[in-house]
Amino acid sequence: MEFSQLVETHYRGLYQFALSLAHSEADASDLTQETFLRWAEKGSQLRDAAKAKSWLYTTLYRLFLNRRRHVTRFPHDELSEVESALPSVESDAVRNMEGADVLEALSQIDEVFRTPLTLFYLEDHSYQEIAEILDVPPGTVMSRLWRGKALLRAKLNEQAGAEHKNPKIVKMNPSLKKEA
Amino acid sequence: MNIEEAKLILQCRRPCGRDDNDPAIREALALISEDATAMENMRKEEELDTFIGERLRSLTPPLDLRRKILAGAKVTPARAAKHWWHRPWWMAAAAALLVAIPVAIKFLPDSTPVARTPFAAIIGDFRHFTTQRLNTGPNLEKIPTIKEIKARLAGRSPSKPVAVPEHLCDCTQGTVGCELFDWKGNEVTLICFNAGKKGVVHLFTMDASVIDAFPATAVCVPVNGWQTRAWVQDGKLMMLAGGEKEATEEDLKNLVEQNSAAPK
Repeated sequence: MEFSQLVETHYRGLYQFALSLAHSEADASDLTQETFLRWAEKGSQLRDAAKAKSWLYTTLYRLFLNRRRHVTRFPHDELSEVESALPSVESDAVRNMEGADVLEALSQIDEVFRTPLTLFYLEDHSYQEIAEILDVPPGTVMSRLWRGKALLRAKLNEQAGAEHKNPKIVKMNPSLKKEA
Repeated sequence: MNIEEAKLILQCRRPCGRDDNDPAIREALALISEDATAMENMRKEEELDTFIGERLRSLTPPLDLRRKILAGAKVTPARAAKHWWHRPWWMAAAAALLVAIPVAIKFLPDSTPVARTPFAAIIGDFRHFTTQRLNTGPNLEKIPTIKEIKARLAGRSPSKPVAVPEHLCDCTQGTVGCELFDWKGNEVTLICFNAGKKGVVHLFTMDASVIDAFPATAVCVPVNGWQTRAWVQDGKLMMLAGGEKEATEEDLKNLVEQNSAAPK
């Protein structure tokens, strides 16, 4: 794949992933650029072109970890250890949120859950691919997604409640057809 | 596998059944398919996941990021087999890079060739994605006039002026709001117009420079409860959508074509 085509295909997703990790547009842009620079230097050594996407996300994640200088180790959770019920979320309240609101809720979640959750929501990655990128067993990805979703819902509910009390912007009702 | 494990595994299932060939997910699906409540919960989960994912994917990178990446790579040499410490010129190259990157970013034109896709190959996906977005509720900024919408959108994306069929502005009763979002790496503008008895009609526009072989006349297709009319005009892919119950093919045509009668 041509370099420019690779950039075109992946730079948005990588930026969104970086933004969820770094919480800053400038850092997210730097991480995305640095990832592609690494590819420009070393990418030709990758024999299987189909692995390019995985390589890019893995590299970005490692660059992020290196920048943080220390990595907190978290235990790998077993499937049987996690709770079976997710908190419900008022989907109408969430529907009134923007991308930045969802990102804000996501940023309040521990990184160990936030990282797989972002990769999941960007939809380009199966749980097996997420396991490969994060270098953890698939079962660990499953339990982290489960807990991550539970935490995200709690945060979204909190945020939606706060916005209900102090609305900051007027947003469109989903049933547009009925408005006219 | 028991039902609780199946529910857990299905948390990893991406919307639209993209992982349904995975053995663990297939087994989990088979197990919960006999449980109506679990199936209904999974459908709700999927709807919420789709929505959260759309919101995250709507976050757009800075406008110049792609250009910076391409410019930076042009001055980055591919790594040779030898280690860097075996190359005495490495430090000089690194220093040259430090100087060259900002210069390249400033002066290199954005001349990346863009692969063009036939209209017929993308329009189905585009119709499906946009109407689905209408059904899940777009994140509109409420703005009552097209003049204000144009000013607002021009402020957010100065290099891409807003294109709207004039007749649509003339024969509708103001606007409801607008939204900018991303579809497969392309910036899409949504403007919603109040069309009186025809309900709210929604105009989606996207740069058509990536599209090839488009038809000479507009193509109308009903999708997801919406009547849609898609065509290419002034270098833009445009799609007008109206509620199937309120707006017919003919109504949509009348809203955008100068020579036809405005719908009453």
